Amino acid sequence: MLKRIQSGSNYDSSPTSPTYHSSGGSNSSSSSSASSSSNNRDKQQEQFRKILSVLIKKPGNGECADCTEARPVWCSATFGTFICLRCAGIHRSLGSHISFVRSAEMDKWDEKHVKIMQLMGNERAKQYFECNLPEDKKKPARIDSTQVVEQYIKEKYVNLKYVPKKEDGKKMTFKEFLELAKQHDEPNEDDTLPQQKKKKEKSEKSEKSEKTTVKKKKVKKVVADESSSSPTTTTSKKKTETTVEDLIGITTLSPSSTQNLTSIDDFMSDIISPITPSMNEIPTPVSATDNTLLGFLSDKFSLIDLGSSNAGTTKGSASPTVSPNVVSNNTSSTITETTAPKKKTVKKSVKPIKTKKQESSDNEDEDSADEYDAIFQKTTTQKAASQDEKKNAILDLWGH
Amino acid sequence: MDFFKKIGQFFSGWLKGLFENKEAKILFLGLDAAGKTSALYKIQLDENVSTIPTIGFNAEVIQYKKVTFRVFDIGGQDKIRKLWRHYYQSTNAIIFIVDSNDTERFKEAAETLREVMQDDLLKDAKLLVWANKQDLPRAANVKDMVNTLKLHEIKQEWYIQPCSALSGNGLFEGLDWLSSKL
Repeated sequence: MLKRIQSGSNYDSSPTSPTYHSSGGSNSSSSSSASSSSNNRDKQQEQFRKILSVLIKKPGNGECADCTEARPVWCSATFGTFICLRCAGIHRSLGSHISFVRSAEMDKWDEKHVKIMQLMGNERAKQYFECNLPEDKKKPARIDSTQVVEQYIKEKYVNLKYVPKKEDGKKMTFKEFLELAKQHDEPNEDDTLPQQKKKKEKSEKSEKSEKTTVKKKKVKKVVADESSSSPTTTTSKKKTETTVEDLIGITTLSPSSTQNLTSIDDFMSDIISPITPSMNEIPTPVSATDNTLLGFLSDKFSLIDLGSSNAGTTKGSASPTVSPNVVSNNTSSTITETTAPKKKTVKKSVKPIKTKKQESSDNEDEDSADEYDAIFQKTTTQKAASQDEKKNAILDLWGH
Repeated sequence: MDFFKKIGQFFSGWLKGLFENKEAKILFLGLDAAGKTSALYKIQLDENVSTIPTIGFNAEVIQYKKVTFRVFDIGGQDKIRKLWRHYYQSTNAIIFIVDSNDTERFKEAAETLREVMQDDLLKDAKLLVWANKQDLPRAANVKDMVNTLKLHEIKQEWYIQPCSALSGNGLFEGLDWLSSKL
């Protein structure tokens, strides 16, 4: 021990300047913290904690963004992801300038960090940080060694190895992605924590659907390849509605997050059901006006557009990487019996349909694979369905 | 006769001073992610252990230059900082660790430090501040940190030492000061 101890240090070990240590005399510090302001702060913290406790239940946030450990309670406030204890340790080792780690339960939060958590979440983070994750590259799992996870985290967040590329071939920065997400979520609102406004949303709905039809053709191009690869299953409209209600029931705490939840749920149900509006309904990024299904989807597809249109490395696999998890996280009450086995197969692969089919047929549940095929065909025929029908359907979804 | 007695006393005192071991209870405190646990195990094992956020505490005994440090490294999350005071009893020194790279939270660190050092149980304790993570390029320098941490307002004897728990630089220099004061 002593040997080590004596081995040299680069730092000034004998600070002679008087500022480096205490001087004899000392001033008495004046300490009067206004109790009212601290009270306010407590209230705010309480509010933040509530928001986080709602966010943590959102699909995708139920497992660690880096190692898929269940029920993470730590957050990277920089990237807006929920991570497990071990990954929190690794993130902290990167330095707070790269990833600022907070505990959802034990830490004080800043408003700006809560906003990022609201804006991002694990699903969105996946769209960005794992957009170009190669198919053969496996995400580390809970059981992998810390070194493996550490390596992966460094590649993912420090080297930004898997992020989408822009049209000029450069990597999209996280800031740009945040801006994009922001635009989709709340283009008209200032940055205050959204305490609003179902009414407003309702009034916008009709507007939105109009916009949607206008932009449909544009989007169709982008979506054409993708829509086929997203898994579709049969869920009745009724079911969708009930889940929405359920979620609202859970999340009465914070209206803003509730809004988020419903929108994502809608998003899921949209993917799940082949009969109701197909993916063609998705508007271009520009048209999205709120934190809604449309905004969320368009967000997603704008990324694909950016990724697949240009960079050769991009595999256009953003949709499959995104949707399986969204679906798999929803397995609770919303899914009908027939859909359940499919979920399984979907969950396993982050790959396009072909491999998915192969995998599933390799597995025991061949029935589901057949079923999958059938539904798959259904959706492709569906694309041809009249646009009016779809419009009605989407309006239906919104409760008109 | 008296003369020999005195000489004997002198030598016994000298020998005692030479071989006797001092013991000290030390607390590692600081905001979350300051590097408390990393520093502790760097000293104890000379290893860079991959740590996880401390929920609760780590206790180690460190023998350094005739001083036995009984160290408690206590988790720094905001909510569990309230537990720190339960460890204050008969504490000889506080080692307060600051992430020099996290300039945004210097204010919070200063506030936390002030609250700790105001506790009556610590009125005789020494304070060593480790300005950790000096290896990072954006780390603040120690002179600035003295001001932003408002160290001059602290009544107890204090000393600030730049260090890096990653490389180990500066850690033992801080302990040198501490052992000279105990």
